[in-house]
Amino acid sequence: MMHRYLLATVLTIIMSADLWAQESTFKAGSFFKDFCFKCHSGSVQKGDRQFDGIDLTSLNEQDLTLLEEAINAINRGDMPPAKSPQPSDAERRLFVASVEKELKNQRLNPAGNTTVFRRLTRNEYRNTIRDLLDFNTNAFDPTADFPSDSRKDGFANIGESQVLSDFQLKKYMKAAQSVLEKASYFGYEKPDSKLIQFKPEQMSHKDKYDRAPVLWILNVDNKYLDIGHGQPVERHATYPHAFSKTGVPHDGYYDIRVSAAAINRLDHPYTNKDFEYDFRQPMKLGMWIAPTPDLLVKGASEGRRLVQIFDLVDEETRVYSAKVWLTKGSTPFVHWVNGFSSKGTIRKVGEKYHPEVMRPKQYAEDMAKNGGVEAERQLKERAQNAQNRLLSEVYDGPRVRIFSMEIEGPHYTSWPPESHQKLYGKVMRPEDLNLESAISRFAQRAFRRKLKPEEFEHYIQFVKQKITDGEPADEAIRLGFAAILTSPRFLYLDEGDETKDTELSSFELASRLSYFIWNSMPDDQLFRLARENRLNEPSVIRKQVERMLQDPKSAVLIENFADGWLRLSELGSMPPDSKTFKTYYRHRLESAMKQETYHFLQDLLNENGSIFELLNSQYTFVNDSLATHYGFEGNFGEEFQKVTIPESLHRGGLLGQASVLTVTANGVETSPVTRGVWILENLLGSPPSPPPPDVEPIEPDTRGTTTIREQLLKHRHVTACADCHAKIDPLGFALEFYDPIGTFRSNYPAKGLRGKGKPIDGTGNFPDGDSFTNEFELKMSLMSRKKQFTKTLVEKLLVFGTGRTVSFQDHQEIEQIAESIESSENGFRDLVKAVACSQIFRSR
Amino acid sequence: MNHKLQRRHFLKGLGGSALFLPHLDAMASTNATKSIDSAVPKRMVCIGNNFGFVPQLFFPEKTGTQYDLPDLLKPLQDHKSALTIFSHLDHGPSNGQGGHSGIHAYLSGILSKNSKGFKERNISVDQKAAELNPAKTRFSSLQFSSSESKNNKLSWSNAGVALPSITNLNQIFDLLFQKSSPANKRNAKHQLDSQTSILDLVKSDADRLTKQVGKSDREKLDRYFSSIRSVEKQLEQTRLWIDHPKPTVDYQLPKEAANLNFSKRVPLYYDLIALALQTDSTRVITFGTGDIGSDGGGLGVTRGYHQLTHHGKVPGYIAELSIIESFLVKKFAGFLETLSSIEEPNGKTLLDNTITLFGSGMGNASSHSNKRLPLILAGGGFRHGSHISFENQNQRPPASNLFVSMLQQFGMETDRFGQSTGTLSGLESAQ
Repeated sequence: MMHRYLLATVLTIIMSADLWAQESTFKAGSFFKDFCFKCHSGSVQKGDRQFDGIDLTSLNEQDLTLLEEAINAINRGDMPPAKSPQPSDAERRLFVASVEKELKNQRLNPAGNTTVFRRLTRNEYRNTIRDLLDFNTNAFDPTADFPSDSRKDGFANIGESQVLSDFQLKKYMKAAQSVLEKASYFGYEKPDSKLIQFKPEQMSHKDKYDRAPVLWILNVDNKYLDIGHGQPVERHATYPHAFSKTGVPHDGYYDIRVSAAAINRLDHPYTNKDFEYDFRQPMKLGMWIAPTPDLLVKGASEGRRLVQIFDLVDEETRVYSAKVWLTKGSTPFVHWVNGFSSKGTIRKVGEKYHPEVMRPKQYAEDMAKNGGVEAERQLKERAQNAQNRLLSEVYDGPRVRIFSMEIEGPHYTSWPPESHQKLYGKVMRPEDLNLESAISRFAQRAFRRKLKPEEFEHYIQFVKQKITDGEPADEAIRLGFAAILTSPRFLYLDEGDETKDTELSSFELASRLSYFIWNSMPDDQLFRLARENRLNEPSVIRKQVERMLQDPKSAVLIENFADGWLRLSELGSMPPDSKTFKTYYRHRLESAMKQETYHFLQDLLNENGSIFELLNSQYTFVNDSLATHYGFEGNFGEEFQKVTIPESLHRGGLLGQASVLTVTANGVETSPVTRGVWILENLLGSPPSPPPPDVEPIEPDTRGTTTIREQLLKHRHVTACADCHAKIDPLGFALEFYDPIGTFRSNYPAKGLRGKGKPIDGTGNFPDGDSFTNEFELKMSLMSRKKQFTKTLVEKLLVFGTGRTVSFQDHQEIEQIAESIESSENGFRDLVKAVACSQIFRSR
Repeated sequence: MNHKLQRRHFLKGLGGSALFLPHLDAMASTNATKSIDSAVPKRMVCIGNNFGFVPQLFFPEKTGTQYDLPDLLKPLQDHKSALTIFSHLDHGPSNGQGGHSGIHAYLSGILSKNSKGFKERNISVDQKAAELNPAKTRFSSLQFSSSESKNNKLSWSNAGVALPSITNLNQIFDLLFQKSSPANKRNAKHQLDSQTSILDLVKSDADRLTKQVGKSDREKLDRYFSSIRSVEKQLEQTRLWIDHPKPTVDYQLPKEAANLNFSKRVPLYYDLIALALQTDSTRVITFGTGDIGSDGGGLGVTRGYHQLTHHGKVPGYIAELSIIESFLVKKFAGFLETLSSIEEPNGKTLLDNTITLFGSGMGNASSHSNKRLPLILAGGGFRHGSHISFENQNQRPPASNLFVSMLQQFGMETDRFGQSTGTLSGLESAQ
């Protein structure tokens, strides 16, 4: 018989039937009544939340979320609000425990507590292909045209929110086919290695320009090339022209050597001010690969592959080299990464120092023909220059000098190449292949588990049938393998049926560990441990995690985790304005910003550093571009290095990093709301609820009369907004000292007006009254909330590691993990291991 | 008008539409006007931009048929009787928030993150339309954009996935008109056979898995199965069209078309869209006009497009922004001109047969509001000529109602789409 109870009644009844009943003084229902109903019942529904009228006998999705939120808020001490009557700590604990227990008993949210069948993310797919086939995915990225992953709370690997479309399925099929074709070497003879040298004239035919520069790659007597301008995404690449029509003849490793020097950076006849250039930076040579000739033309960018950026030594010829796997048809090219613009800089220098050589511009000639008076005057004035030397002959500013380029290869570390051996062993004729064993081996590795013969038998039959039908044997085999790579058993991490058993099987755990630490499939050792069923002991897991972290493959743990947790994957989705924030593009800050955060986290992981360095630190990592961006003194190069932060620079911790500050702005303006929400979600684990639907967003007025603080205050007069924004905005106010790309500032820019805008006011406070006046004091306030931060980080690591969101049922263990690493000085490495050993991580 | 003449000439040079519409031509021989009329297919084109339009510049003051176009929309004067402007229409409160990340709900009315509860997720109106007779044309739908933008994704599949758009003009041209050699065709067929056999094979793995996994996992596998079925259908459609030669057109893109600046490229996309429709290569197209690029797009503006939309009411910024917006309106007007200059076998113009939507999922970029979307509907056989405002209605209809009207007009028997409550009141078919 079904009764509808009100929550208050039901909880009282449950209490009496429960072990808590012994503590007869406590009633959960009365807790709600005493502390919550005032603001969350009847017609008063603050924050759009109402607790009376919930029927506990048939909780729906919404009720559940509501109760979970309530428990969380009460747990954190956010609720009841400071100004209201407070329960005692004991009452608080008792209440939370009783509600949690009841919800748990009813197993109300199975999906929330087990990982839903998750599909490989783009990165996981690429890395898995790399390891499964021993295949170079740097040279050929099979996921290049995959649609982007849908993310939940920043993470791409949450099974529940992933989507699959026919479009994606087609891409999977195509990717599998093309990778297998590239990985197979049936019938190939090992090609001989050749050395090809390119002289300057093979890379540029120009020895002078009769007009002002638009393109400045000069061949000087076939001795060297002078490159006078450049940009991060190069429009005028320097490469061997004739060679590029066909590119390298085979897939394989090639040595690329470029002999080059930096000329006249330190000493030139002009003044440094004439150039838009940071003269503390070394001149940099970018080495790239264009996999196809069409990627060498101006305007191309997507599909080019960066090999390395070299800091050039001044006035000294050196050979800069790299060993790279190239696909057939590829051509390397170089450019001056941090060069000047040709029109904007070199022409100006020409006008100033070499007026006698300046020729009229093309458009002046055109306009003069149409009777342009000013153009005619210019033509006349410059006509006398016609006989003088050309700008390109007299210009003596800084430039990159290239003496030669060499390509030597292909080289192989084994023959047939590793990818072929992974698939077929040393067999070079497809008809010699033992189909059964090749397919069985491949399927077991691809599906990441031990298979019964009937689980791959149909693939063997399929290949045999195709051969019988007249398909060439190698194609038939590849088709079978391609099908294996299109099977859901490869594309999804199959973790069994949670209704039968919640503990992961040893093969499932091997995959969970490897996708956590390596973002890829298990290696032979993990497979062996899984086969021997030895993986489920914490001591073994701990040892394995340590081994896996020492493997260079683990570098992606930090990248993928930071991209999800800190939302760094969104960096660049609202690109900063290219006119206002020129250095963002000129100095490739987007990539430098990410690198800083990755280096910071990686260092913490390597050194087992305290996780509270994330809240505030005395050090960070910078390269030359970021050093300039932040205002560090001294000389830096392209490589990142650990630096101590002078107090005057206002850096330290995640909130001092430009990556975080940029991803929380929209590329044009800063928003205290966005930054406040970011802190609540990612550092304090208490995301605010979305805004009520019917409130009109504010339309900023930046004519210089009001600041964003004043405009937001208006917002807070609206009751519907006030409660949440009182929590959100103040945190963001303290970060207003940073502009949309994270540059420190004391005043707002004056839009539409000249001079400085209004001064920044960073004052704010937490709901509990803890106040701050600037970003540093905010960080100190956060430091006093260590426990909340630790739990948030544990939670984020668990979400990332398991591919599911956490729920109230996980809180107890999360708390235990958080407490456990307190005893080991809050080391990040220890934390990662504790997470991997947890029951949550080892369960479905 | 000079422009019109040139257009006519250019399109006549294509060799006459009969050549490209073989089945239509065959139909025409029945001589029954009515059946010809129904045989000429309806098309649908949806155009969207990233940042919407400044509301004060976009919406006319008066409503009804006796309204004046504001300066921004003046370029549309010649087609005023062939279009309808809507105001106070949007996707409602639950999808009214999101700012830049709300723009993608333009053609669906549903935010991607909220789409889970809907059977067809956040499918966009063009993709719904593409479900009608998908095999009648070489492409069931096409998606173009002047640049790839994370936020301005127009087309969404019924699996809740954004369809990528093609931005390279040469690639679009080749896709539509480049003939393939017999060897290429053979390879293509072989590839189709291979893929069909792969799909057959993996189905049995999926079957096996279904028996092993839990309930929520099974839902994921259902998605996998339906993706397989859908790919199978697409392979079948490709196979049908392999031996059917692509149409011949007398049109050439300028040299290095793909590298031209924004303002030079936009009209070229419109040319190709008109050709694709005229040759019945597809009946459904979306076109996103993206960012103008860091060079000002050849429009002579000194600041970035996105930055200008954050004008903060500074008059100088609004003035520059309106240069971009009026460019977009002008080129759209040019497109309507092209469509209206092409005659179709049923005696109507291509514009009469093409339901053309122009607008954005952004209502006011300055306040990041996705409310009160700028929306202009042209052509397609509706009774046009007015400015319809929903401001004073008690219960403002959701913009999805417009999509229901569009789908019905397109020939689909449906009375709902997304969060619709019916067809859009005030918008009638001209019969």
